[in-house]
Amino acid sequence: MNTDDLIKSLSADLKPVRPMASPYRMVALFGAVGAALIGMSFFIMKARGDLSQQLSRPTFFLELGISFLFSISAMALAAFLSRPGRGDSVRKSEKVMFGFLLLAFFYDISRVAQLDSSEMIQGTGLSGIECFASVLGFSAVLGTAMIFVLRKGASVRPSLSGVAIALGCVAMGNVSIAFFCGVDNGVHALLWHFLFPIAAAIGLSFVASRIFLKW
Amino acid sequence: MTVRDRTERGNLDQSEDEKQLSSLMRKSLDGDCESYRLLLERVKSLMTPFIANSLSKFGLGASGGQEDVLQEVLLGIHLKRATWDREQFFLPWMYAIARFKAIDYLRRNKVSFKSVSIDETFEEFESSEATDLGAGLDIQSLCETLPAKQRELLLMVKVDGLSMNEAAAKSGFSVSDVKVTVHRALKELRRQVEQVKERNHEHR
Repeated sequence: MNTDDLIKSLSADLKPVRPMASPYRMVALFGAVGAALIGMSFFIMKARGDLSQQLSRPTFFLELGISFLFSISAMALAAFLSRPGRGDSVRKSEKVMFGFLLLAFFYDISRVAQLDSSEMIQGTGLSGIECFASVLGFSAVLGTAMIFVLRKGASVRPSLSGVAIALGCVAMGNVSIAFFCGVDNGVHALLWHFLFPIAAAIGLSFVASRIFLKW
Repeated sequence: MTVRDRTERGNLDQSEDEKQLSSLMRKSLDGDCESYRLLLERVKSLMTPFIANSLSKFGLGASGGQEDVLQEVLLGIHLKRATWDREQFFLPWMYAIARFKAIDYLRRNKVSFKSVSIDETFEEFESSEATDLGAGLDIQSLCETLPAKQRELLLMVKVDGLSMNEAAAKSGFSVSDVKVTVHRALKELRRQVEQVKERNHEHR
């Protein structure tokens, strides 16, 4: 088919199109779905024994806040990436997301620095695999939902979109696991809640984004 | 075609293009077939030289690839038209799709970017600068804000169409100095363009 015929056929039977939701609405949707999943997790998993004590600690809310804002900023990046021609917003979101990524990372490092060597070794214990699986499972459910929504868009950088979705979902998974994991060890949190799930999620999303976000 | 040629022919007065295309796209989103046909025709006329220019740098100009990429761009616009925000400019959206499709085509054809010379890269940069404005920016008035050396060399290379060597010989600077100065001038223009675009967004 030549181009003129293509133009004729595309414009022949045009239907009105409903515009895609704005990036801000997508981020709000992500926050709402994440919160709903965290709520549902209480039906599947047992809350940590000291949850009521933790809820009275300001640092607990600080940790939750950092993870939550990191998650939201990553999803904002993914949402702006799904709209072609929004380079300015993408660049700003990138900076904000990496800012929160560094903040979350250095916060965990500061927790690690307070430990002695025996506590550090304890934190590397393989019992953390359960937390790793929980965070990754949570991220997979949320990530699948977000890829489904974002594939309606048109990301001009699908791999970066995948990375942003992975980071956003793992960060939301970090918010979730804080209500269930009773291990207060910085190394455990850094490795099993943060670094390992991020590495696995980025690997998975890198592949998934090339398949599902291609257009 | 130089920037001056395009300015004289009115192609750089993108505010007019932007207004027309945005208006046609709005009507198209509401289901107006005739507006959509006009829009696609206009996109075709804008995209043909852009794609030819992009592909010819990689030696794919005469391979029939131009038609393929053009059709992919039109299909991309058609399939993803819901992603255009009525409050945003149309041209940056359209060129983002075109660049993505052109790069996708080059990747599929396993074109190496290492084979492109620095002069061609500058041409590409200039081209993308010119096409990414989208907001009716006045390039000439932006050039006036550049330091004299940067402005002169930029005009020699990008407006008068001199090669880096010719500009170096004419100005008395070394070739590498010319390349660096032109690069810095383009970077400064890009920064100013971003500022203007941000201001335009704030005014909307």
